[in-house]
Amino acid sequence: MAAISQSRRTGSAVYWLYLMPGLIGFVLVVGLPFAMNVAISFTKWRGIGMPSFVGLANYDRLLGDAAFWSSMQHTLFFVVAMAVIPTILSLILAATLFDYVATQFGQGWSSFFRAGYYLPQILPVSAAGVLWSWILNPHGVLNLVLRGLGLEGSNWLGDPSYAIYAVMGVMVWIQIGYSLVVFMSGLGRVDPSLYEAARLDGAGAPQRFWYITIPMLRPEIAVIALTTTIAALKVFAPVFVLTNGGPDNSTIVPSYFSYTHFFATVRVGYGAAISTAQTAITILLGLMFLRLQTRKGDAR
Amino acid sequence: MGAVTLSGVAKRYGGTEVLRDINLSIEEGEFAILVGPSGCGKSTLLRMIAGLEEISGGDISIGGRRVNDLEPKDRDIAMVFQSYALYPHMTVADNMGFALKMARVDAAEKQARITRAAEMLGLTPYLDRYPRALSGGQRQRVAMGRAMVRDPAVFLFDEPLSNLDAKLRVQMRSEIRQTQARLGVTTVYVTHDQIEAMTMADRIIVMNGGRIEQVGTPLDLYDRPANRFVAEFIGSPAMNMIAVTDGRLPDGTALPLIAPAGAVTVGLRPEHLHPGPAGITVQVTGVEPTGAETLITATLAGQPITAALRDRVTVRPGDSLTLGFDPAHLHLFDAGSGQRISR
Repeated sequence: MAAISQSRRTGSAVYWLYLMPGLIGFVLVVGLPFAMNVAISFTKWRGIGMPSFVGLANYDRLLGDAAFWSSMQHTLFFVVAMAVIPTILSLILAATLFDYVATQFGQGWSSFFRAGYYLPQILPVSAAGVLWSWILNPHGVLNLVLRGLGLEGSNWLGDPSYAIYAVMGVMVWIQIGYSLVVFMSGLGRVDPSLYEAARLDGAGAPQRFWYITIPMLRPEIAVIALTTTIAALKVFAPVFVLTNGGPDNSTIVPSYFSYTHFFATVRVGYGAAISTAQTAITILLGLMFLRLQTRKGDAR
Repeated sequence: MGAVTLSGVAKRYGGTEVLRDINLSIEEGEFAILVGPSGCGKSTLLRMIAGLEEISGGDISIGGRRVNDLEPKDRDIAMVFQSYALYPHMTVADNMGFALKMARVDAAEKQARITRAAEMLGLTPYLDRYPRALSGGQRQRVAMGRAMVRDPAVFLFDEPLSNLDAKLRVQMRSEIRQTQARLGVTTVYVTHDQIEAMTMADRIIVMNGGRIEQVGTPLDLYDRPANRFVAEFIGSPAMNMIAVTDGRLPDGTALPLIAPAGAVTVGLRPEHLHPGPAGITVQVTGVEPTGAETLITATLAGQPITAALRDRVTVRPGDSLTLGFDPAHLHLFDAGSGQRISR
């Protein structure tokens, strides 16, 4: 017995040894900064000097700050632009490339389109931002095309009524390649005879998509939905590059909102409170999502 | 209703012709088996009948109707795949009823057909289960059931037993045959296993290199193979092929048989050899007792030969053994073309 116990202890020590590098990295890069952020959120601090403890005052202010709630509302728009629309579109595109383009025109064309859709993912956000600023500015390509068609253009990124939709459009363009590649690799593991059986069973392309593709890609859809939703909840760079949260805060998001308080207004304590609230919401939604997914998996 | 006719059917991938001039007529209610080695084109031919592969030439008719340009669903066929192709996210009942759902069959009618097929296949207790909770044999039955509920004119089977263990394969062989006989549905079945073909088929179509070598009943093929390929493919262990010139083996030994002058190949099935005082004398190289019989591998004038002996013999590698045979069991093939020589 003593020997077994000794062996278990040794085994356990070895596991910890293997976990150590990751754990150290997590503590230094995520855990410690987050703990410091939480601590700072209870203070009033200008970034230099000693922070002064203010209890829940920053959170109290946050609850009444219309700009914060506006940024949260914009987050919902970005969830639609980064998670919902790209997931639906890329599911349809992946099924089309896999089930139609690859079979009718060859694997080469399918790979070509897949690479094309993935291209925005490898472009630096700054480059994509400059590119879309050119396209969307009042004298840009989009307005030229619209005028050519006899339609009226607009200042897409400068008009508060359109700016959020313009940024959403760019986000769809950026995000679609990621989910498309994941869905196509998911389709690669599906037994092709399932599609053949469905064809024999009388299922046309829409039915095959609904009854075979979507259920077979359920694990990939779950992963994509979770990762893109989290990405939407903390989106920063595209907003920073395209609109700086403007015009009139019409595209501001929590990450950018906390950034302005950290570095522009130098209300570091308040910025930390925004970040903490945003992190809490992200973790909560993530956990809810995972739980829902686990339950669905168990039920099947 | 369910006769299948293939006239001059061909399949080409680019410049490569994988099937050429396939002419075949499968009668209504017949159990026809396409058999041949891997790559011979049998599965491609089945998929062409199903409509899953395009036809490069010729015509395919099902029930007297040309189906070349019809979608698979419109050909009045049902197919059982090698992998069974059961929808993993649907229950057994949903799998079986999927085609009926797509055809918008009335719910009561759909339920009745599923129940009937499930009872026939012993699947009633499993209707609410998912495929992953079933054994290999049960999955095979679900695939059968899915085909049956559609009440098709033709069943197509693509190596449906190849994923099962040997014992289950024997059991399922008999179940499939009995179900087909009960339903009387024309069946085209693909296998590379000649034992499966011999035990299940009304008629066997032996394929090789993209063409049909011979069509006949199992015993036709066994007793009168049209050529060397069929002779060696049908029967296990494979038929012995002995090169003979003017009645003599390459080492000059005279064979006790009547052979035409010139070079021929003599075929002799291993099970038609028996120990005897007169016949051919072979040098034993291996002995494999299986209980029911003893397999002897040996050489005859440097040529490999196998004997499947019912009698128990006590020989060892290196021994000489005299094996007798009935000359009526000999098969003669042209040494060049490999075609059967009538005697």
